[in-house]
Amino acid sequence: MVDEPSGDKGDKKGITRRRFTLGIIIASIAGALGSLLSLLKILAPEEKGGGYVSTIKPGDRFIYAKGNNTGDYIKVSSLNIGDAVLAYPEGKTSNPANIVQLIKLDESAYKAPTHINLTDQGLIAYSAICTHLGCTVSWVEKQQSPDTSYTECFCHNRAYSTPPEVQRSWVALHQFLLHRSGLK
Amino acid sequence: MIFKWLDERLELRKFKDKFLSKTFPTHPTFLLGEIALFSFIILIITGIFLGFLYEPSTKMVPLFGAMVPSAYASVVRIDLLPMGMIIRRIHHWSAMIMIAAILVHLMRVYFTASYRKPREINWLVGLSLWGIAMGAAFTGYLLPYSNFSVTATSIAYYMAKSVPWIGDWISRLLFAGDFPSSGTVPRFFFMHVMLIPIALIGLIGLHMLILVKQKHTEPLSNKNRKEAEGGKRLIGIPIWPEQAVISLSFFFFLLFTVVLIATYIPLNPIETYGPPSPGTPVMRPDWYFLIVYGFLKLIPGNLSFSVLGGKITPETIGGVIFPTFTFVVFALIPFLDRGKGPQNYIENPLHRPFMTSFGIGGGIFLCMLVVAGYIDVLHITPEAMTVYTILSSLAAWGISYTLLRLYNRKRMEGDNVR
Repeated sequence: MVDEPSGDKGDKKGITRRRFTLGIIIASIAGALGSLLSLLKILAPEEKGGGYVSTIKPGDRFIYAKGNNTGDYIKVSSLNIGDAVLAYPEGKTSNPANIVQLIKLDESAYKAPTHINLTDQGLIAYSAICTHLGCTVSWVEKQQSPDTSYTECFCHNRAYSTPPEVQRSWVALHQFLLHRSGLK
Repeated sequence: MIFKWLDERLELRKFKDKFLSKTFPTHPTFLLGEIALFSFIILIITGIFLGFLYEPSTKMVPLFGAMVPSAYASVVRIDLLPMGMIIRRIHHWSAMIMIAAILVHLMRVYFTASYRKPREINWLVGLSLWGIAMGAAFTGYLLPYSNFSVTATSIAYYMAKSVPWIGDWISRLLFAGDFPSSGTVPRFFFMHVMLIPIALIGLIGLHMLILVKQKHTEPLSNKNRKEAEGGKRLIGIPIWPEQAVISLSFFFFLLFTVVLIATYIPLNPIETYGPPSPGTPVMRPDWYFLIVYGFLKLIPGNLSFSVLGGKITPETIGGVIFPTFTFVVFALIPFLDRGKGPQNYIENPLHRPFMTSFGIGGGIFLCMLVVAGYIDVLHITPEAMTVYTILSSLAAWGISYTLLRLYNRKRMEGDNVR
C-alpha cells in the first residue's frame, strides 16, 4: 500500500488515482449490497390481523375448542364451579390467538383487580395464550376447594393468579369482555 | 486395476503421495470429531430418503377420515412404510449424537488447550458448526407439523419476537410472517434441506482444510521422542491405510450403534402427539435445547425493563441474551487464554487449574440447566432450582480449582526434589 506510483506522488492536495479507484469500487459494492437490503423487507411478510392478534368481539358465542364436543356451544349449565374449558369464538377458530380459557367460579369470589363487570354468571374468560412464550395455559383443578384452582403455564411452570385472590404473584392474562350473549 | 485406469487419466498418484500419506497422531480422544462427521453423513443419507417422501405444506388433507396438515400426513405415511419409522428415528438420533459429539469434541479441545495460536480460526469455525448444527435440528423440529412441532416452534417464535428493537422483523423473516403462517413450513424446509446443509458442508470442508494445513496437535508423549529424532513430521499413523481402516470401521460401528438405538428407543412419536391442536402438550425439547428451555423456566417472569426504547423481557434474557453470551464466551476463549508460542502439543488439563476448573464449573452450570428443564417432574420450585444451579456450579468451580492447585503444588515440589 505504501509504494504508490510516482505519478501520484506529485499532487498531494487532490485525490490520488488509486484512492479514487478504491472509492469507486467500495461505493459500487456498497450500492449493490444496499439494493439487496430491500429483499429483507419482502422476505419478512407482514400479515395484518393474523398471527397473535385476537379478533374476539363482544357478542361472540363460545364453542368448545377441545375434547369430544369440539364445536358445540358452551352452556353455562354444563360447567360446574371450579371448571375451566378451552373455548373459541364461533367462526373464528382459524386464528390461534382467539383461544380463551372459560373459568366458572362462585360469583361472590370475584374481587378487584378482576373486572367484575366482565364476568357473567360466575364465568370469566381469559386469553389462554401465555404472555411469555405463547404456550396454551392449562387449568390446575383443586377438587376439594374449587376456588383455589388456578391457571398454569407448563412452559415455565408458573401459576397465574386467578380471580378469587392473587395466589401467586404473576402477571394477569388479558381478560376478555364476557357479554351475556356470548353464552347460551 | 481401477486405480491404474484412473491414475493414467487423473494423475491420482500425485494426490495419493501428497495427501494420503499424511500422518494422523494417535490418541483415543482424537476420534470425537469423526463421530460428528460420520453422524452428519448418516443424516444426509437418511435425509435424502425422507426428502423424497416429505411434503412441505400445511394444506389440510384427509388422513384416516380426519383432516390433518399434509406435512403431518406425509410423515405418518413415512412411518407406515417398511423401515420408514426406523429411518426417521435414525435421522433424529444421528442429529442428537452429532450435536453431542461436537460438544464433547469442543470440550476435548478446550481442556487440552488445543484452541491456542495458531488454531483460533478453527476453534471459531468449529463453534459455528455447533451453532449451525443446532439450527438444523431446530428447523427439523417443525417439519413433521405435529402438536409437539408447532408448540416447540411457537416457543422459538416468541423468543425471536423478544429480540429488542428488531424482534418483530426478525421473527417475520425467520418464520415467514407471524407463526403459524402457511409460509413457515416451506421456509423451514428450504433452510433444513438446502441452506443449512450447504453451510455445514462448506464449514466442515474449511475445518478439515485448516486442519490439514496446520497439522493436528500431538499428544505430549510425542514431544520427547520427536525432539530426540529432531524431526518436524508428526508422529502417528498414515491416513492410508491405517487411519482409513480405523475410521471406516469406526463409521460402521457408529452406524450399527445408531441403528440399534433407533430400533429399540422411540423418538418423536408424532402419532402420539397428534396433529396441531389447541392446548400445549407436556413436552420437552431435545437435550441441547433444554439448556435454553431450563434457563427460561428459572428466570423470574416479571423481570421486564426498557433500554433505549428496546423492551427486555424474561424471554429476551433467557432466549436471546443468554445463548448469545454463551457463544461469545466460547468464541473469546482462544483470545483470552494465549500461550507463549505456537501450541502444537495438547496440554495436560491437570496442569491448567484455572481453565480446567472454569470448564468444569461451566459444564456443571449447563448440566443443571438441563435438569431445570425437568423441574415440573422433580417438584422443585424455580427459585430453589436457581439457588441449586448457582451454588453447584460455583462449588464445582471452587473445589476443582483448589484441588488442582494443591495437586500442582505437590507436583512442583516433587520436581524440585528431583
